[in-house]
Amino acid sequence: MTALADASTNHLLSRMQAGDEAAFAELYRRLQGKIYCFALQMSGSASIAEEVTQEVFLTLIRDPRRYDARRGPVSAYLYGIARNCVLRSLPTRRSDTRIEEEGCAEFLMVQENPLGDLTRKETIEEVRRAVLSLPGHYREVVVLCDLHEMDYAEASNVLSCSVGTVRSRLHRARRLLLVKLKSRSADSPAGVTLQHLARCTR
Amino acid sequence: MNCQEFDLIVLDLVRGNLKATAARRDGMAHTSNCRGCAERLSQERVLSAGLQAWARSSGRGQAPERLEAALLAAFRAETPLRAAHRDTESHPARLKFAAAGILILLATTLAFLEDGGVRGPSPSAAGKLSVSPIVAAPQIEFKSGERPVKETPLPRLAAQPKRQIARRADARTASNRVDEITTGFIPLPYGSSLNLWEEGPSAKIHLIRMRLPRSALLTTGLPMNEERANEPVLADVLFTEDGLARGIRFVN
Repeated sequence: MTALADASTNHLLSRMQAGDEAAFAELYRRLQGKIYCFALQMSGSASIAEEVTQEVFLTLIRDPRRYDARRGPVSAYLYGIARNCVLRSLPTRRSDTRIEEEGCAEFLMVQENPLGDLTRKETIEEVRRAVLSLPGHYREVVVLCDLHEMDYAEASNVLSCSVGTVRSRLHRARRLLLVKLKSRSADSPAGVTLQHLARCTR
Repeated sequence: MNCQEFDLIVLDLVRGNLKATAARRDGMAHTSNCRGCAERLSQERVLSAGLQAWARSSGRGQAPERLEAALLAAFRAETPLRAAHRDTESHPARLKFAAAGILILLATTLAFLEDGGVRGPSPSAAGKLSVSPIVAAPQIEFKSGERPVKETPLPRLAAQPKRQIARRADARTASNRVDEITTGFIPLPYGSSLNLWEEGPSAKIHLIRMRLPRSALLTTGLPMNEERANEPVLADVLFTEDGLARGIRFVN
């Protein structure tokens, strides 16, 4: 078991191809959190995130040979599948793109200072809503580069586009986010402003 | 550096991509002279901090545990089939032998039909939905890991109306052209002890395509999309002559 825990994802994948269930389980445990979070942050829906995670790993089970190590790490390959699944699920569900509270509320856990945490929760919620209201191609670069801390090259690998495209989309997406957050701060009953955000996230 | 040039590097400044470079130095110098750009940099930093706070709060997100169990079950169901495919691929001679057998059989059937040897399907057979094993040649993957492909028993053609077989073969070929994605055959609980290949030439199987409630996926250990629970799934069910369903595969 220790050998599996230390093994590289590529090694796990090749063992999985040979029918090693433990290797698949280790690979799943190692990567499912990232994939699930990515899908959740992209869709705002825990049920879509679950569905996407399932689809990603089923694709890996059915046809592991589709992965080409020369094109990047296993995680980037899985992110790519997840991204396609999320984008497929979004247009059909545009009508119910209401942002689910379930699945997300659990992440916004209250800590020591209830008032501070409440403000922090509201702040994060504002940011989350602003990101979810971005068009898909802007949202994905924000999620990958800012939330999953990928560099431009890694994100371009996942998105199958050039580094320059990632860079310009991120630039534009963040501009949009700032505009949205500013306009929300004027309307928001919680009174979340960028200055407020600055205080809360310090 | 002017404001336009600053706009080009502001993201890299915030993301820390310009550590100790001249561009960073110039950019920071620009912000000390330009209030607008200083404000812009400050807002970008605040935004980054907000995004990081969200990332931290959602960072411990995990897929539900039931998903792991379902995926492991799917892995178990898929693995023997992949091994069977590998086995087949690694023995091209066996594959050629099987293909040659099928061609000879089809040629014989056609010659027989041209001779007028068959007057049409018998009434008793006409209503049958069964598909003879040779028509369903791709299903040799079922338990083929235990026996080589060349040992696949030939079907009892004499018992089948020839014209019907030819029609089925045509239909099968046409349907193969359609992009169908299927799972491998999953043995059903009471079918696991049956080894069709050990039954020899007497083994007679029937493959019936049917619509089943989506919950059938769960009974075979596959995950089910709860949001589509009301939609039926398409499945090929493998029956033996005793009328028992022995295996199932799902069709997309």
